[in-house]
Amino acid sequence: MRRKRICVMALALLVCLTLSLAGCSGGNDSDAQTDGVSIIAANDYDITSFDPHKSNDIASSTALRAVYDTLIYANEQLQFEPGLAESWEYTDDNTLRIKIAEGVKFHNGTPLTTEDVKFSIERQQKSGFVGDIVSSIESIEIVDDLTLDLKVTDASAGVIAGLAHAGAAILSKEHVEGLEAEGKSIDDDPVGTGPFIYESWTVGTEYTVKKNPDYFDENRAAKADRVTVRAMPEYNSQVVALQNGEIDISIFMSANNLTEIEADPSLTVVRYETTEETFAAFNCSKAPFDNVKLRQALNYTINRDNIIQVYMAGTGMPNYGVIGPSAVGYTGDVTKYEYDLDKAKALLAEAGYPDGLSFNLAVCTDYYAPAATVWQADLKKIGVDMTIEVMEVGAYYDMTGSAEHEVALSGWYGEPDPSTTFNPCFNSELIGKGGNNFACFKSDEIDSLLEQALIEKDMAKRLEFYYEISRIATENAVYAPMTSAEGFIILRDNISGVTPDLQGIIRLNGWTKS
Amino acid sequence: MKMSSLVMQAVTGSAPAVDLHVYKKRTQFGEVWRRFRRSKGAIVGLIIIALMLFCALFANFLFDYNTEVIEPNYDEALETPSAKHWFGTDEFGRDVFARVVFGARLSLYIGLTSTTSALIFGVLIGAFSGYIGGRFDSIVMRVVDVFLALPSILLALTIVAALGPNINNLILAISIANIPYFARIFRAEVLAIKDKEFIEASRALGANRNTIIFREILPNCLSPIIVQASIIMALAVIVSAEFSFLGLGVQPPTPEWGCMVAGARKFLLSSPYLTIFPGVAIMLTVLAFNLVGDALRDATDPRLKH
Repeated sequence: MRRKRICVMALALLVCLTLSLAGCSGGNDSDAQTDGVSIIAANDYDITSFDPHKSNDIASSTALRAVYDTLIYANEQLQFEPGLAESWEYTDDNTLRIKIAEGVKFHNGTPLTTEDVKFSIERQQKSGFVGDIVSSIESIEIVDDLTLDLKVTDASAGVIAGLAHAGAAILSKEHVEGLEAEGKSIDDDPVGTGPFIYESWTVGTEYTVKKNPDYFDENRAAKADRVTVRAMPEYNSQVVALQNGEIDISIFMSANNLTEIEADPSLTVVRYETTEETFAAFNCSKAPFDNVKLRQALNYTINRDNIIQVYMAGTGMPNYGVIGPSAVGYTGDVTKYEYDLDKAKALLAEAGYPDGLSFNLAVCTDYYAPAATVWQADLKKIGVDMTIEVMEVGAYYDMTGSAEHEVALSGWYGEPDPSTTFNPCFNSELIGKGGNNFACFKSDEIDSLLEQALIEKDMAKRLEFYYEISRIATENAVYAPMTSAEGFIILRDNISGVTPDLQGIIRLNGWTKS
Repeated sequence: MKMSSLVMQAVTGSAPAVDLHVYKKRTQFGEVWRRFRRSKGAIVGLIIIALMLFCALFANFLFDYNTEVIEPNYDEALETPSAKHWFGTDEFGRDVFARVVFGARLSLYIGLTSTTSALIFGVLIGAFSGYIGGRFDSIVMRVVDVFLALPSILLALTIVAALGPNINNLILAISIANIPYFARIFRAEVLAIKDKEFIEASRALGANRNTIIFREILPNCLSPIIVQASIIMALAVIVSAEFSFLGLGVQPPTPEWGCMVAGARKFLLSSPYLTIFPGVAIMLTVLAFNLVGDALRDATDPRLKH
């Protein structure tokens, strides 16, 4: 009896081990109720909400852009095109006049009016997630059913970019007020004007949307009849699911599985540059990293080739700036610190640490741990003892948010408008607030450049301001820039029309299956 | 049936030379050992534990920690198992065998220290609570109940999350989470024995409370505690692997089995051996302690003497 139990226990242990490693996924009733073209995609995490004002992440953006429209549409190159707004222009320095398209109907049949636009923007301004994006809009005046004036504090290009953000999706006033009066939330019945109509959402598992046959813009109308996006956190199981046809698309694949995928003739890899940059940020607001020589010394210890090999399986590219190369506002014309341990050692001595030093690196989740480990080994060669502390996201941002870290390692994605890319990271007012000003670097010069860039209307001039910020930041070595990631979308060979934008946000409307 | 025939064999085997009427004295330890080694599983478990202990003690002589265990060697990254690298190499080009061997040191260290400290505190709490009894006992046991009501993993998770992830906090968390179990078991033993005649006799001889607890009660209640310790030991190895897997325990580049499994998970399809070897090491260690614990329980149970 006892022996049997032990055998069973051993077997159970083995099974548990294999199962937990394989991260098996259940639910294989994919082709249940299909009429027309039905596509199933996998993402590494589920969306947060169908309420555009209760989320601000890439997965949710994809879902929001399927069900809703924004006034202005940012295309894949992040250029602005008419969305629900047919046209927009500044009538004076503080007034943006918007004309919305005629004959647009919500999924429940009610027509879109300027009342809905006013309601949506005002509701967004109260949101903790995306409220700041439209905070420069002071008031909204309805001229007629199709025309409205936005009164803005400063007429920068940032307002247009804000209106193109997924958080600025236009809701139906009547519908949302009806839901809220019943004590329900938008997630109970999301209604928009978008190319897809909400069908179902099982939190943590998957959501399904179906084609909107009456979509107002032919160019952006949905091609597939039904799309399901499933949350599959384990990349290995996504690969297996792709190979056996359980899913058609993997929206976000890890570089470590590319070899297997490329060896499979039924799968295609779509590679794209992202606006991401992985970097270590020195806390310049306190010793020892208020010492610029020390920061520069440690900058020379970043071996980008090895980081690319280990951390990104040979994909991606080295980066020396402060944002990803495909982000708006990026410049390669910065102070570059190439891997050079001799220079590092000399500068370290100059900085007053001839015998090295020890410090703690806060790492945002184990995703970044390989990059940290490579750096640690190189630092050791010049006598610098760095301990790694892998933290979960919440704890990490609590730490950077109160400027308690010594050095912090994480990534940053560029936004369509450079103001939202640079401001959170470099505005000195945000040191110790929100946690995105990782370097805690106080520079009046940068602050004034940020301010000038915010009110400047000429985009070319604005970009110059941001280039200058990059130059000042690298000169002072506030970051130790490492690499920029590539993104990978995996398609089964009968799928086409999947293109991400520069932010890695994918739109569902172009997807087709043959 | 089988058991009795075994005994018969043993008796007849030793019969010719020995006078059966002579009383042969066996120590308690000898008796337990005699019964313990009858279980094949226990012997297998002991061998595995001995092997792991050997790795843990002599890891330094087998591999150089700095150059072979933590230093990257990018030219040899992700190699399959070979004569040079028995378990292959990871994405940093580090030898997985060397890391698994050093991992044994860490896992056993975490397991032993956390189990020992939980045992010491648990036994002390259980002994005093059981022996003193009355209101003191009620209060202490209610506190123990509160801790028992929380799942031990959850409790340990909370402790590590509050104190920050590193080896010492992990050990602290595992031991605190397991103290109530030792306390409960030991208190039950104390209650069963504290009114026996030999305790009364020693009290009559003038022994004070501490002498009675440590000289009389403790040696007579040890066996269930040892059994429990071996089970907690297995649990501690699993919990430390789990926590490191979740990034709440050991930090890179230190080789810890759970850490290694977590780091290698992304190579599961391309280089499965990276997860298999540390995974098997965890499994074998846990299995060994469970086998030994199981056999010990049977060997120390007087009702299963023959």
